[in-house]
Amino acid sequence: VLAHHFRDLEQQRDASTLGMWIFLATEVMFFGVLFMGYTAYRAVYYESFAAASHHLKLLLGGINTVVLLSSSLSMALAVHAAQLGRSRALVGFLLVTMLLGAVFLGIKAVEYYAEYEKLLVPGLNFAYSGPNPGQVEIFFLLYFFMTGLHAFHLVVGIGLVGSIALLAWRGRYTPAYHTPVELTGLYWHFVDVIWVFLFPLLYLIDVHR
Amino acid sequence: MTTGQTVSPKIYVLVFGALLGLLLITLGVAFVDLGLLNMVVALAIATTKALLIALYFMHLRYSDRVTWVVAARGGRGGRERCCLTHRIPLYILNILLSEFSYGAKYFWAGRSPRGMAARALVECTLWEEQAGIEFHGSEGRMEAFGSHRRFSFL
Repeated sequence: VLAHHFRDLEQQRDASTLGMWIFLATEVMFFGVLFMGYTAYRAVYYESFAAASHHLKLLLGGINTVVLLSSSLSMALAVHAAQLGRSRALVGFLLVTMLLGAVFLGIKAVEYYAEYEKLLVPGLNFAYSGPNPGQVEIFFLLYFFMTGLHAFHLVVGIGLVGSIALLAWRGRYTPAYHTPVELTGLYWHFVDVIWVFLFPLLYLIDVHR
Repeated sequence: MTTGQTVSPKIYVLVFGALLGLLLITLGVAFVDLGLLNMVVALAIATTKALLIALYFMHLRYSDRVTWVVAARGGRGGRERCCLTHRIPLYILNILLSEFSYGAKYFWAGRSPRGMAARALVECTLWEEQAGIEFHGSEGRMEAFGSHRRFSFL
């Protein structure tokens, strides 16, 4: 398990963890530009963004937030099980995490379909009858790009958790060595954090109106 | 987090409860008209949730080695040891501040879209420069990843 260029397992784990955090840091920048673009356009086209946001399904978005937060809890418990060497619990929590991730994607697909039916998908099926359709289109472009990129990350996450679960099932991880479980956990929580920001920014513009 | 150290599942469940509570507060507040404050509150709550996730689920709180992520400058060494990760909190802060400042300016600027758009372009450029990553030369990096003990260089 110990690669030859590391002195001991702890050093190896620290190096891997650092590498993962640096990767997540680049991911923050990856999403950062989108958030920045969103911010600029929202400031300029505030009214249209609020009107566009009202077409999103707040209830489904809220449920999805709960689903994703639950998946993070499950992931944290999976890492905990790995630390204690409880491999059955580990596999179980990993499967729950995957399942919740899939539920999130399913609900997201329902939302996307509803938006497709309402002719709100830029470039594919867009016809908006309200005021400033161009500005509303920008909102939906950002909406689909940001939630789509997030969903893509989740698909990758489900694949990662799946492979980790398979290896855990084969008894690959021990309390002394379970770094891949921890790092996959970091990635999963990061994807959760992105959604924590996407939800209020996209779904909660002027809902009191 | 060092090997053998674990966090009680009770703490995970508590954090999860707090996250759900904050979500409910976000939803509740969204239905009250607070003007500009709606956005401020929503982002403040989102940031709190992100911090809870990072500190507890991602073990940042228990982590010796990666506390540099939240530190303004890291390392026990006296030399400035800049790396891309030091910029991340600044970068996030910048996004949040931009949100606030755009909202505020738009609110006070009598809602002049054209002025805002011009402003946005200028600010994006400035902001990217501020958030820019500084890389050491190869020598510096070699030193950083070379003989030093663990990651004390951070």
